[in-house]
Amino acid sequence: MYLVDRLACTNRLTARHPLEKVLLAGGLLGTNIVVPPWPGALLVLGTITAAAIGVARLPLREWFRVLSWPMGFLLAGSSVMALAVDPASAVVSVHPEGVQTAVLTSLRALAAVSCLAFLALTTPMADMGWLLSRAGIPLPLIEISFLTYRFAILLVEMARHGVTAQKARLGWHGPWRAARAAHLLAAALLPRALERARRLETGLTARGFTGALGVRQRDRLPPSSAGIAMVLGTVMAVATAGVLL
Amino acid sequence: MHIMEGYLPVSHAILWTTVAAPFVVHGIRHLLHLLANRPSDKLTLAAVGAYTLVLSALKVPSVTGSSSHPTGTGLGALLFGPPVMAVMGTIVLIFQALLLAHGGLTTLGANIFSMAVAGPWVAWLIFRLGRRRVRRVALFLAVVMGTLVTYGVTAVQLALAFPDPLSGVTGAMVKFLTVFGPTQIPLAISEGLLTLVVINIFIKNEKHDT
Repeated sequence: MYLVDRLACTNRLTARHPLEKVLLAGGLLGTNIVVPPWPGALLVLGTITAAAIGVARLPLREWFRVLSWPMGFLLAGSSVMALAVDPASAVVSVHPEGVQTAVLTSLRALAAVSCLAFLALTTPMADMGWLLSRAGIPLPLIEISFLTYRFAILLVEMARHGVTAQKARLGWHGPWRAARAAHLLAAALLPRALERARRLETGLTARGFTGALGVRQRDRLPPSSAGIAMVLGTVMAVATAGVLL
Repeated sequence: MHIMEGYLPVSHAILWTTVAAPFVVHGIRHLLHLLANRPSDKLTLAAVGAYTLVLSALKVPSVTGSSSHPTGTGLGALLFGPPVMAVMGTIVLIFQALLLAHGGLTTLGANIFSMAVAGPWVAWLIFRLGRRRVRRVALFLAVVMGTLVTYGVTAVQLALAFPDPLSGVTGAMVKFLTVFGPTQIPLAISEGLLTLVVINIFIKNEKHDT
């Protein structure tokens, strides 16, 4: 979470209007699920990686690090798809059709994750919230989302300190101790989160809290026509190439 | 375990979004009504949402050698009711997709239905049925079954999208459940125990405060 937050606030596209980035990521995400995965997904992956590394100037290492996070599910899910069960003998074997489905689905999923990663790594959460409020999402929902995000960062910090303290006492030595330590830590976090909420509530009530949290927004320039045109042109070009190639 | 971004074919993504949408809309109405009457609940709800989000990032070693994580939605459903948890689950799933690359936006409908609708409703119903007799056992069973139903629904969603080349949807369902089972059954039991510990700590703190 820290890595995503840090990169979102320090890349070369941070100051750009969030709509431009949402259109690029969303457009390529839509293209990715509509066009055939070969070569469509490969084109989407290449385009969004070029935008992330070449335009937003995200560090290559961090970009691939974020893309490696969902690999566990990708490998587990794909390996299951590659297998086939014979209904008569219940024998499990590798099936060519299953292997093809697994490879194409994995490629499409990787391209889709890269679109999400681009959006998350180039757009600060405050900009996303502002865009959602402009899109007509009820304010209480946006406020709850922001508070959840804020509390999550606090809890991650608490969890990190907790893990350090447990490791210093060999609490994570071996799988059983690790499982026990993780559960103890998880059990301790909710009361602490609720305690934080209670303290914040007391503080806000003392300042005349009526239900709305006023947050100062930074000045934002309107989206540039050239930027929007370039984004839409890129998405159209990728979609056309994905269908024709 | 959520279905990853881009995994589902477009027709399935639309279908599950359509199925999940009424639950989320109903939940939003319920939540807005709740907050209009008690604005300060916003902070408690956010704390529970954050707890669910952090739990999903806290990997627990599992039997298969990989790592898994609790869902935390069962506890939320018991505290605030399933309609509210449909909304909080949606918020958590969006953050998980954007911040942890876990789940996705095109698969959001499918993940909402399994984790924020089916699991919480089953957990809440089991707790409602058993709470008058053995409250702690009902709590444990509610969370265990809520987690198992979440993963069961995920297996069904994957099986419908990717039928087995030889044995069809049924074979695919058996395959996915077999792969998830060794990880998810111990995980569901441990989440049930974790919820009991959390509730015990919670009750102890409340007694200490009063």
